[in-house]
Amino acid sequence: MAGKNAKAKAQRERRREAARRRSEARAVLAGVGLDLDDDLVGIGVVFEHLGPSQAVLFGVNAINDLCRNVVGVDIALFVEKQMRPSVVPSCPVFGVEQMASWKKPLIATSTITCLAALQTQAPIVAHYVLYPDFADRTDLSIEEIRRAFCDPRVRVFVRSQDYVALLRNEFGIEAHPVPDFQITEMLKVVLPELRR
Amino acid sequence: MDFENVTVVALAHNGERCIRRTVDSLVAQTRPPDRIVVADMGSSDGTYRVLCDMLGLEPIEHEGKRALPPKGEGAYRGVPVTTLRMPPQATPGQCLRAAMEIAWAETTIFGFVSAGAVYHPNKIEKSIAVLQSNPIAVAVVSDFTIEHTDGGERREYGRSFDWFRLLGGPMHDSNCLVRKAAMEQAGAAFDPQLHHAVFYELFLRLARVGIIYHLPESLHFRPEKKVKHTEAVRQEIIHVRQAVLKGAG
Repeated sequence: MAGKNAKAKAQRERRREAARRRSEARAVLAGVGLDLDDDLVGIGVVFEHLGPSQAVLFGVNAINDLCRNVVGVDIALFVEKQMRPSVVPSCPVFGVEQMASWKKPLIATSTITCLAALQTQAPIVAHYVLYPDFADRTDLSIEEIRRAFCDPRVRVFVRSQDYVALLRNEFGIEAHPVPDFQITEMLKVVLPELRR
Repeated sequence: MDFENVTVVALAHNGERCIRRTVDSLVAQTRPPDRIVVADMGSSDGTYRVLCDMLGLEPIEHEGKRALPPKGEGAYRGVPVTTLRMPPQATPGQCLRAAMEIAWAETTIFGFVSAGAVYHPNKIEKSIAVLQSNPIAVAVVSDFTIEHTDGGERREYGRSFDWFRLLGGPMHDSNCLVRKAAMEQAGAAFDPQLHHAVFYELFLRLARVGIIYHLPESLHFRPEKKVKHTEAVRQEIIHVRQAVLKGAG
C-alpha cells in the first residue's frame, strides 16, 4: 500500500516538474512573440562584415544571447565581406550569395544589406537602423533608398528615439525604437506577424 | 566613480572669442577632466592672452622683451590647465603630439575638442561609461548640434564608423574621446606631417584594432563652419587612405 502511494506521489512530482518546465519554456518563447506549440522559427541576420564595428558588437552579442537562452529560434548569419569576426558568433555564418534561397524573415543591419535582403523571398525584412546611413549612400538612387525603408515587406527599427522623427520626416514611416540591437524586441514584432 | 585619468586636449587657432566658453564647458562637466591642455596653433589674435588671463599668468622677461610664457600651468575652477604656444608653422599633428606628451604618462583616456566647440555637460561621463562597459571600444564619437550664426540650431546625425565605411568617406569629427592604450596599439598618436586629415588618419588605424563607438545623442555643440574641401585636402585624404591601406598589407 505504502509502495503504491510512493509511486503515485513520484508521478505527481514528475507531472508538477513537467508543468513547471513547460511554463518556463512558454515564458521564454513569449519573450520573442512565440508559443510553445509553434514550429521552429528560422531568422537570418545580414551583416556587411563581421570585423570590428558597432553593428557587429551589438548584433552578434545579442544573437549569441538569444542562441543561449531561446531554443525555438534558429539563427543564421549572412555576411557580404568575409573576414575574421571581431565577436565570435555561436550560430552558422554563410556568404550573402547563399541568401538567394532563404524564405524566412531577415534582419538587415544597413541600407545596402536591406536592399540585398529584399532580393530574396523573405516574407518580412526587419531593417535595423544603427545610424541614418542613407544620407551617405550617394551611390544609391533615391528610389532604391526609399525601397529599403518603404517596401511593404520592410519593418524599420531604429536605435534612437531621435531617429523615429528623422525617418518620419524623410520617408513618412513609423519606426520602432529598439536600443542597441535588442533582437528579442524586434522578434516580438516580426514573429507574431509571421504567424498571422 | 571611475578610475580613469582623462586629459582633454583643446586646439585653438584664432579663437580669441570662443576659447573661454570651450574651456568653461570642460570644467563644468559632471565628470570633469583630470587635466586640460590647450595648444594655441600660432594664433595671430589674442587667443593665447585670453588663456593666460584665465590662468592668471603674467608676462615674463624673455630675450630682453616682456612676453607671455610659451608654456604655462595653472588651475581654472579647480581643474589643472596647461597652455602651450606652438609656432605658426607647426602642423595640427605636431601640436596634438606636443599637447599629449605633457600628460601622456598618467592619462588613460584622451579627449579632444576644437576651439569654439562646447561639450554637453554629460559628454565625458557618458563616453567613459561606454569605454568601461565595452572593452572592444577604442573611441567614442557622438551626434552634435550646429549653432548657426543667426542663432538657430541644427541637429547633425553622426555615424558609426568602421574600417570599410572610413575607406568610403573621411571623418573630420575631432570632438571625441580615445583610449590611450588603443592609440599605442594602433601606432603613433598623430601623424606630424599632416595638415588636414589628422583625425581621419588616426581613426583609420583605430578602426583596425577596435570599435569606434557612436552615441546617438547630441553631446557637443559647434559653431557653423563652412568646410571647403580644397584640392590640397582631397589629395591629403587620398594619400592618407593609400598609406594606411599599404601599411595594412
